[in-house]
Amino acid sequence: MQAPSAPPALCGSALFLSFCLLAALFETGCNSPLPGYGKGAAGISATSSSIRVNQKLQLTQVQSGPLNYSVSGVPGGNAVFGTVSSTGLYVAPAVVPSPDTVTITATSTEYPTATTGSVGLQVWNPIPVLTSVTPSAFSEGTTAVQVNGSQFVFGAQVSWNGALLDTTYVSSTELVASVSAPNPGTFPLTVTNPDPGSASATPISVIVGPGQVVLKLDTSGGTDVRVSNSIALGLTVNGTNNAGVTLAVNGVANGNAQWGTAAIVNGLITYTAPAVVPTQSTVISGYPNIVQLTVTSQDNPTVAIAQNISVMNPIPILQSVSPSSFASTSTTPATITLTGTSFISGATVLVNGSAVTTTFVDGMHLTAPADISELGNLDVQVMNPAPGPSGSEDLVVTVGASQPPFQIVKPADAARFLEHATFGATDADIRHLSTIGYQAWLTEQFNTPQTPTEPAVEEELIVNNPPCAVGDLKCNAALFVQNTQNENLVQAQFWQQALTGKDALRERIKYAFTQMFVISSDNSTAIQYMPRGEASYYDMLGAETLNNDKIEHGVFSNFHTILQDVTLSPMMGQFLNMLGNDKGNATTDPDENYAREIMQLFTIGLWQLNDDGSQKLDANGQPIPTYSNADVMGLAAVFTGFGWNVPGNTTDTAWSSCCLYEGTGFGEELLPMQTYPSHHSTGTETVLGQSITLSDPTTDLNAALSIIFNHANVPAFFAKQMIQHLVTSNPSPAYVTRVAQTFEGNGQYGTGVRGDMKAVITAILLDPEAQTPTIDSDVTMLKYGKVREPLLRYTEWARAFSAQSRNGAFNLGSTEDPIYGLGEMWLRSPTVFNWFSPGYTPPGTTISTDNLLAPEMQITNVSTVVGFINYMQNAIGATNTQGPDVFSNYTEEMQLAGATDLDPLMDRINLLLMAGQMSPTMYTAIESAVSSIPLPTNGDTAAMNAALLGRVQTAIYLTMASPDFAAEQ
Amino acid sequence: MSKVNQSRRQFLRSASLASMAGISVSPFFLELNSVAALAQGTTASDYRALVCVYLQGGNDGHGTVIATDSDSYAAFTQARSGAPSLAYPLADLLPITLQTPQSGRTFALNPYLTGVQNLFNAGRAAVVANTGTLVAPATKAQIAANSVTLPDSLFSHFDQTAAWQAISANLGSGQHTGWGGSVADAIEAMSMNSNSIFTCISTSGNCLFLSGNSSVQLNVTPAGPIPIYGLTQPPFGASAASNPLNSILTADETNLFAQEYQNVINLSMKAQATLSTAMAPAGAGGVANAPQYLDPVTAKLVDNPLAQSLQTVARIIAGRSSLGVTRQIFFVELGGFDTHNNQAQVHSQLLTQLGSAFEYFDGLMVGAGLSNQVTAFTISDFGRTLTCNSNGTDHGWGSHHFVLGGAVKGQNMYGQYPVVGVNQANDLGAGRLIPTTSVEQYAGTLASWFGLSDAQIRQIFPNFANFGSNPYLGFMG
Repeated sequence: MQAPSAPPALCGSALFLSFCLLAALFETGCNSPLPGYGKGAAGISATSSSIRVNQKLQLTQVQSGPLNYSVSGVPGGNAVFGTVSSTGLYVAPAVVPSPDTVTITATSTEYPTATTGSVGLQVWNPIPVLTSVTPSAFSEGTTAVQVNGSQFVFGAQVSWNGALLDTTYVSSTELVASVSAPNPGTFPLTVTNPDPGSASATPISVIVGPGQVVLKLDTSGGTDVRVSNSIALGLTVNGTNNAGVTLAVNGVANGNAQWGTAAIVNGLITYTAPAVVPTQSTVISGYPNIVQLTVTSQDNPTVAIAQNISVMNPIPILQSVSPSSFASTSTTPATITLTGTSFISGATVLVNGSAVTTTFVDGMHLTAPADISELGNLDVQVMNPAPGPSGSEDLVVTVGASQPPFQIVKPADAARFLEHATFGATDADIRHLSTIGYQAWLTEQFNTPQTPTEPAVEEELIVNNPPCAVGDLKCNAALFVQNTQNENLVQAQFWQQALTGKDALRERIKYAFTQMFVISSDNSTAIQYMPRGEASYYDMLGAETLNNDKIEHGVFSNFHTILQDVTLSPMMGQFLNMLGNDKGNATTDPDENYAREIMQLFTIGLWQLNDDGSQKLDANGQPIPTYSNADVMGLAAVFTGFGWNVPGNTTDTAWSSCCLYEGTGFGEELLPMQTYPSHHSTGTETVLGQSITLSDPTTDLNAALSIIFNHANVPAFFAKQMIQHLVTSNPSPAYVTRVAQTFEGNGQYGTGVRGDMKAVITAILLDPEAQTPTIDSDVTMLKYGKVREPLLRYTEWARAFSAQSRNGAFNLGSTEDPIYGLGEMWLRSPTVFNWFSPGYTPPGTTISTDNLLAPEMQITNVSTVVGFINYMQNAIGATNTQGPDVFSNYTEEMQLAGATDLDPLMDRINLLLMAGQMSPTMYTAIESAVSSIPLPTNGDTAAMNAALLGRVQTAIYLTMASPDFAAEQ
Repeated sequence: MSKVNQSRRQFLRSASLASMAGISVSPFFLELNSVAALAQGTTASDYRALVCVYLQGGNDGHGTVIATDSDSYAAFTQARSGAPSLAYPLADLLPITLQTPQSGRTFALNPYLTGVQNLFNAGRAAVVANTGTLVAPATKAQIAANSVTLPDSLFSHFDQTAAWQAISANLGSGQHTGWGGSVADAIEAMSMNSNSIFTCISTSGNCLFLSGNSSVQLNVTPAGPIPIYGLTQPPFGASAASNPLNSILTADETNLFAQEYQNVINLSMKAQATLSTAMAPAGAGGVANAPQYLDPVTAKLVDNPLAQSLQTVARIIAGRSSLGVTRQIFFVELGGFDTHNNQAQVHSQLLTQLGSAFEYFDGLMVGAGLSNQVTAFTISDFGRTLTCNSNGTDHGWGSHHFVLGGAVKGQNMYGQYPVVGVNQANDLGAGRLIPTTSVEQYAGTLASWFGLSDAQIRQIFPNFANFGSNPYLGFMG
């Protein structure tokens, strides 16, 4: 704060500051006129150097005669600096000005050129007034208190027993602070306003009573752990000075070798899992791998909390395959022996990604048959079974000596195709696809079912929360439909399937559909609170069957079916408000949200389209709208009368309340919405030029969806967007036309059925334009491809290097932060418009001046580009002991990293991450950086492994940081 | 590829190399910023900033600024009788008194806008009534007769957001530049900023509003600009001498998408060092942390992301001298206004947040003596319907907006507040208001205060002349 006084030497001059003028008077003892003051000098003085806000102060006039007053240069002052009357009565402003000192100057009215008098005053904050503390009494421990009164200034602090607390300023009458009171007693609480003029209110006494012990566990680090590994749980003990606890696992003090052990390490509870997964159910019937950790207060042993922990199988480590090569082919399958560690009974060997009959010898040996009937390489991998299924790194077995293996598809082409069709190419998928060809691979993938995520989410919810009694609806509701804590569980299931699912094509297409038929748990608390519902929406997109209706469902079925399933999903119903949409009456209209967006975003868009995706134009050359607001209102009326599916109950109670029936494996958030006919609109509505006389909700909805599905825009609208998601941002009109015609049932891949998704996906992926990048006539600039979205760049890394979850949970936490995450997260886009819009073009760039699109550039900005590189540094650096939960061992790559010739290492990374498209300059630069890491020559194995790992990580990091990788061609 | 763009890329590339060469970071410099925070800056009087507060989703203007004279209020409650929670009791509304009365009518703010009411009554906030996207003035009769050009795709989020942010002759959504960016282009053309990459700052993602032809936008989160760690220290043991990351990030790319991705990286590298040094710290020694606000639904104190965004804005304003700027345009966003459902709760939370954030930001600016130099204003996708569904409202058109700051001729309403009720003169149906003030008038008035000439403004806003001989609204001092 400013010093309230100034050196006497300055007095008498017309400078700012304080009551030194008056002080000078006393010091010299002289009478007016002051020395140095001539006739008409307008000397003034004040009795104080400071004044609190809103207070008044009468200034003293040194010589008589009328004066004109100003405050900080403003005649008469103003609300900011305070006002001064013609008689010298100064009124301070309501708020401390900046700077906090005001200067009041006076000039003689009669002698305006004579010496000006001035007084500086520092304006002080008010003295706070304290009226109440809520609660006015509480138990020992930590308590949030609300403090009310008046005259609180921003920066005011609550003080407790003489110590200032971190305080939240709510308003001038309310503050909030967290009081830590370890002992019972009576303590003073007050409020102190900040400088200038810092002052405290009269204290209030607060009574702190004896405490009730409250234990709380922090499980944000997860509750899954693989055998022999440890996890840490945070513990807070409130309401007592004795924070000591005792620990037990399945009732055994500090645990044992069978159930795992628990101990306090550095203030955290560390649970170390047993060497093998327990086989006897103890906590929850049917879940032998779940153990229960119990924490009991030493101060009050009747207070205890329990936490379930899932023990998972280890990640298998594959060290060698014998034999590692076969000199020639044979029609008789050979037996291969796989050697490593952490193999579990039930482990499966995968050859080129397909499971073969496996014999478990012991924890270090497996045998399996290998088909060596064709020349080429076999990619071999071991999968350990659930709980916590995981794969090893892969090793390669060669068949035939040095002759180039016969391949239907070249590896680089296979890798490129897999970038389009999956969450990222793997060595196994490349080899498998190379061998069987595109059509066979697609057929195989069309027939590979998904692993649903909802049961896994439900299991995690049960494991992580206290069990509900049968029929305890309140408890069930809290667990399943009002659950604010478990978004990470849902995300983890997505990651697990995206990174390791064998239904690689289905997972990728499901993901693309979530970017068109968007739901989001961001800004929609209803979805965020329903982790099972969120998961089941994703499962619905991949399910082959639903509701026992004998119709094919999911992303490989028909677009019409998908449209119906999405429309009736209670999660979509929540997100775009069709759920509970009531018929109109004299004062209300039906909600238009879903009606508008299903047309604008999901199916037809705003403008009539040609089959090549371009806009149709009218006689005046203007684009033609697809619908009017009347169509929106008509469709909104159709979409009324659908609500939560409470079987057998269509009462108004079920209509207006969420989730009357909840339980394990069952609940309204999992079932398609049901009809409430009394809430369905009546009358006749026009939808896209066709009239629907409303009668029955389902009949009317089906009629409307048929009109939309058969609209001429749908094929091109869908074709272009799906191509953009999978292949390239700017497909040629001919490419869009070919896919749109397939949608209509025609063309090379058409099946005669409109909306056949298998045909459409095949047409997109096998189109010549997808398989051979189109080079623009401007040869200096390739305009083909797209920016890879950051989430897909991450999955490509994880799949390429067989990344596994250390804990078995695939818990990556939130990835949506633009600086500290990927700037993107599944089912978490900010709005229904997805993370990026299909029509986005980055302004002020060659992309926009060339009239091209780059949707993913919408989330490419100065924050996200840096965030991504740093995020990948962390991800690539994760190991089996530290870093993010998903890590890679880089076994195969490390075997290549010690060679004098580093080309094989570079070739592998180039193939897996960039389909062999890395520029020669970058290839050389990275290879040189890799070779700058010296290899130890003293035989130190650990140092050698660290160097090899550093080389591999360097190569991957630099590749993934490059703009070259960010653009997929 | 046009020459303009070629030179821009060249500029970015050479600029990033310059920043790589190393701008030294003086600790003393940082301290200056921290202590004096916002108030520092010798050329403070030359400085002006516009802060665009985007209420994403379409704010319900009808329920934000409410006419309370008996006829108006009766019509309001009647229109909202289907969802009574959206027709606030008169006693709960927060009265505002206009310096220039509107023909005997009285007004109030939504009960959760205490913060805005305080600012309004203190003369530092104004309301701009029934503003929206227009090509030319439009009446109900003209629209019915199809005799007036209307913006394309009314009521569509995407397109109307674009029309608000990117002014163009037909207000279509195919625009790639926004009016904030165009104003920044003009500032750049006048050489008012010595380092124009710091003119346009978004605390949200990429926004159309700040997209200019020559100007670029920087996205800054509360974390501030962070470096690419691997540039200075190769992370996995490669020798620093042979670290190829910089050459990989700046190498000539052939693919168009790689090129543009690279341009963003280069812009980031260029901005990072300067901005991280110039930006004042948050909290102690810098810009005071934003207070939490009392969530009216949960009755809990919660963080205020909008206020935190405005804190980031203030931290950058504090570094204006070091950044070499005298004019800045900011874009901050508050999402969730698409209140089809559960509007009473959601809107109360959002408006509380808005009012609290505005009051906080105003306090920062007043405290720094910058109140007259920084003007904040709201935009949104569109207004909403006056009538409602069972518990929310639908997409509308015209809406009421707030302008905030010491330079605003506050405690007043600009533009005509419409007659309230369904089927009134300005109602296109269901209380979707036909705007009587265009976005271009609103924007042009702000641009004029910002220092653009009438000629420059008429060039940026092609429909400006359609709104009379003096389209300016006069709300800026």
